[in-house]
Amino acid sequence: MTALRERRLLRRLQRHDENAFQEFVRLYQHQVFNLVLRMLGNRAEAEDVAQDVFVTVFKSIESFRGESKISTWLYRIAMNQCQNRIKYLSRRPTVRSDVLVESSTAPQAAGPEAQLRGRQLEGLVQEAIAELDEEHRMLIVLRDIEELAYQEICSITGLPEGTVKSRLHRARLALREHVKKRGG
Amino acid sequence: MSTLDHTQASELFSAYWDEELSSEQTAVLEEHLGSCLSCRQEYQEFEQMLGAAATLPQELAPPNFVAGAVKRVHRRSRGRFFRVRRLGERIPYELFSLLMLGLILAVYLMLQLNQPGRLNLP
Repeated sequence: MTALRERRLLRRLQRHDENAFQEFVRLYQHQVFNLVLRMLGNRAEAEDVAQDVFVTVFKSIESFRGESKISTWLYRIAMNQCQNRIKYLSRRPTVRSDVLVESSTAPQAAGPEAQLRGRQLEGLVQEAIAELDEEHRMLIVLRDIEELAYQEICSITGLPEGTVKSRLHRARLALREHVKKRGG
Repeated sequence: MSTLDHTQASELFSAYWDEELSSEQTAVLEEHLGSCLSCRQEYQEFEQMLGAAATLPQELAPPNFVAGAVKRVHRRSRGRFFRVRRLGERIPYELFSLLMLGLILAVYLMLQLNQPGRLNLP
C-alpha cells in the first residue's frame, strides 16, 4: 500500500468509518491470520485472536500517531495478543496444534523426490516452530516466515537490534535442534 | 579473524544467512566451510531449514473473517463505535418512515373527505 493511501485510510479509520474498517480488515486479514496461526498453531484460536487484533486496532486507533508503518503497529498488537493468549492457554488443558502443511507454494521445478523431501521438511519445521519457546517462536515467525526487516522487528518487539540478532541466532539453533530431533 | 574453529563458525551462520557479515568475515567463513566437512554439512542443514521456513505456504483467513470482525466490533461497542453515516452514504430509513407516515395520513384524510358525514371539516 502506498504511503498516501495508508494515510487516507488511517484518517478514515480515525473517523470511525465502517467502510474503512472493512477495507482495512480485508487488506490485512491474511497477514494477521497467518502470523497468529504460526504463533498459536491452532486455527480456531488463531481466528479468534486475529479478530480480536482488529477490534483492538479500532479501540486504539486514535492513539496511533503514524510514527511507524500501520502494518508494524498491527503486528505489534497481534504479537501482544498472541503472548496473552499463550499465557492464558498455558493454564488450560492443551490445545491441539492443527497447522498442516497441505500444499506448498514453492516452485514445482524440482523432481518429485525433492518436492516430497521439501514438503516433509516444511512439516518438520512447522512442528519444530510450535515447540520453541514463545520469544524464539516470535522471532522466527517475524524474520524467517514473514521476512520482516530487522528495524521493523525492533519496532514490534521493542528490543534493540543487537539483542534481536543474537536472540534470533539462538532461536535458529534451537529450531535446528528440534528439527534434528524429529528426523530432519 | 584468520581461522575459525567449529563453534566460531557456527556462531556466524545466522549473520551469513542474513548476508550481514563483512566481506572479510564472509571470506574467512567460506574458507572454513570449504575445508571443514562437518561445518559444511551443518550449514547446509541450517540453510535448508530456514529455506523451508521461508516457503511455508501462507495460511488464509476463513471466508467469513471480515464479517466476523465487523460483527465483533459492533457487539463489543454495543453499536456505538462506528459513527453514524451521513445521508448519501447509507439508505435513509428515517426519510422513508416520514414519507410513509405522510402517505398514511394523506390516505386517511382522503378517505375521511370521501365520507363527509363522518368528518366535519370547516
